[in-house]
This record gives sequence, structure tokens and C-alpha cells, in this order.
Amino acid sequence: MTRESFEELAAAVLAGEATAEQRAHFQDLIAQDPNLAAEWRAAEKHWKGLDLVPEPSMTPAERSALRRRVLSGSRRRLRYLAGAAAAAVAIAVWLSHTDATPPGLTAITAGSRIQAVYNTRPIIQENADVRTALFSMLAEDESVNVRLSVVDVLASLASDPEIAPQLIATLSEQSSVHVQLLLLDSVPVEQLHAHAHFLETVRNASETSALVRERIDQLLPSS
Amino acid sequence: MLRAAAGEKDAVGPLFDRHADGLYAYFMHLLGDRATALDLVQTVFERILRYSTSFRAEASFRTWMFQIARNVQHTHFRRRAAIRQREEAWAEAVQPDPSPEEETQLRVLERALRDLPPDKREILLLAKYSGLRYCEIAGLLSSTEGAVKVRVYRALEALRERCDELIQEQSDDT
Repeated sequence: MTRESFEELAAAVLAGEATAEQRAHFQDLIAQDPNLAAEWRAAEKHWKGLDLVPEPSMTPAERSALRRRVLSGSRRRLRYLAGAAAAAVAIAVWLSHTDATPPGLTAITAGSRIQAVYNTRPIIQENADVRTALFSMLAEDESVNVRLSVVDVLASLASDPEIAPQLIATLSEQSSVHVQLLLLDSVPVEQLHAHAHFLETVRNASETSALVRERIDQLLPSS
Repeated sequence: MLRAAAGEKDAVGPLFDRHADGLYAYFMHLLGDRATALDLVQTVFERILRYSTSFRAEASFRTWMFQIARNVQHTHFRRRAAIRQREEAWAEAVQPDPSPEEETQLRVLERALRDLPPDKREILLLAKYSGLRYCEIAGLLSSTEGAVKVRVYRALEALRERCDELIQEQSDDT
């Protein structure tokens, strides 16, 4: 028997997928070779040891919040097809120098949308239409990565007293923990403090993740 | 799943109830970051809905779901340089100076699992925790059943070697 055949057989025995005949053959093999027997004992010990490694689990609150987000996500997708489609297309068409006039939103990959978002960087300061389109994507785009890129771009305007409240307002619309955390980290603390009441509402919402609650508590110690 | 594929969006609830915990554990074992694991579980379900019509009834739903989970995980790594993030997350998660009492065999095993190269950790996680049979994992990885078995056994060997190293490091320290 080759070394590889032994490894195949051992893996099958470990997982309980070996036939009775294979198991008997395997027992014969290790009975004849003390080195293989020692190796097998160690392998079996570690395989069984993996059963004892605690399975990472969500807290009940996290699980419940995630379930709500997943279920609302299915509705989000339907809204997205009708809503943010226009925004994403508007941005892509506006950036016509890319020669990437899209036939429709669903044909634009998340990667292309992210590229389009970052391409708006030089002009978001003066172009309100593009800012509006970006906020629409932030509210509706189904891709977490696209929404993160939008926050990343809009963060450069986060100290603007007109933009900051809009960014903060999107917190309650977000289904992604990462996007919520990035939003909180992008807006200046003084702006967050100015909207403490709203943040407390977000914090106390049942669907809000424990991680987001913790961050809000850190940012608003008195909440 | 077939209900979801037929357009019954509410059918995703039972799917979530059955599979969310396993997916979360899979991502946590791989990434070690709670927020990322939660986001990726959500992304998997979004993709399940999105591509539900491509699911074939004769296929194993669990295999199909883990195929999506692997794609989501790879996309995450590629787009967000998450390998570095993961290492940092693990560095935070691992106690830098654990007391001798804490260094139980289980902790060594956990630490060794985290230290495995990603491909070895993934194959062990799939074999041990996903509930998939070797033939299903082979389909998932576009490999053969025999090759998967060999990879699992060698990953287990690597785990054992890493455990031995960690135990040796402990005894050197004390």
C-alpha cells in the first residue's frame, strides 16, 4: 500500500465513511506496523479533539438581528431593482469616459459599481447630483462592498454640516454591521454628539447588532 | 429551497434557521472576526436568494450553500485585503501571555487550528464541521474524493505537528 493510499483510507476511517471491509483492512495495516499505529493514534486523538473545540456561535441578539436583516434583505433586493438601479446607472453613464454605458443595473457587477463610486471622488464636492446618487446607492445597493466604498468616498465630506446628518441618518437603513461601524467611524464625534438622540434610537432598535451598540456606547458614553 | 427558487421570498426564513449557525461557525473559524462573519453569513443568504433559480433540485443544498460561502469568502479576501485583517483579528483573539492554567490541550488545539495555512484549515473545517461527505467536498473543490481524503489527512498531520510545536514552546518557556 502506498503512503497516499494509507492517508486516503485513514481519512475515510476518521470520518466514518470507510466500509466494514476497509476498516478491517486498516486495522490489519496498523497492527503490523508500530509506527503507523502510533501515527494513527495521534491522528485520531487530534481528529476527536476537534470535536471539543467550541463552535463559535452568535449571541441570541445577533442571531435575531441577522435573521431580520436577511429577511428584509430579500425585500431590499426587490426595491433595489427599481430604485438604486437608476442611481448606479446615472453614475456609470455620467462617467461615460469609461465607455461603459450599462444596459441595466443587474448587468453591472459589484466591482464595476465600486470603481464607479471611487471615480466620483474628484467631483463629489461640487456635484450635488452625484452625491444624491451615492446616497441612493448607500441606502439601496445590495452589495456590502459597494456600500462600504460609498461611505469611504462620502467620508471626505463628513465634516460638512449638511452631509454629516445624511450619513448619520443612513445608519438605521443599513443591514450591514461593517457599514454601520464605518459610518460611525467616518463622522466626526461632534456631529455624532449633535445627533445623540437619533443614535440612541438606533442603539435601542431590536435589530441593531451588539457590536454597533458597543460602538455607539463608546462614542456617546452618556447614552 | 425549492420554494425560494420558485419565488417565495419568505421561504428564506426556514433556510436561515437551519443553516445560519453552521455558516457563522465556518466563517468564524476561518476569519476570527465576528462582524465580518455576520456580514458574510448575510451575503451568503443574499446570494442564495439571488441565484436560487440556478439551484438544481437533485443537488445537495448544503454543498451548493458552501460553494457560495467559499466564493463569498474569497471575494472578501480579494477585495478587502482581509488576509491581513484576519491575521490581526487572530492576533487580538490569541492571548499573548497565557497563564499555564489556560494552556490546556484544548487551547493548544484551537491555537494550532488558527495557525494552519488557510487551505489546510479550510479543508479540515469542511471535513469536520460542514456536515458534507468527502464526495460532496470534492464536488465543492472541483477535486476527486481521493485527493480530498489525502488533503484532510495531511491537514490533520499539520495540525498535530503544530500542536507539538506549541507544547514544546510552552515547556521551553516554563
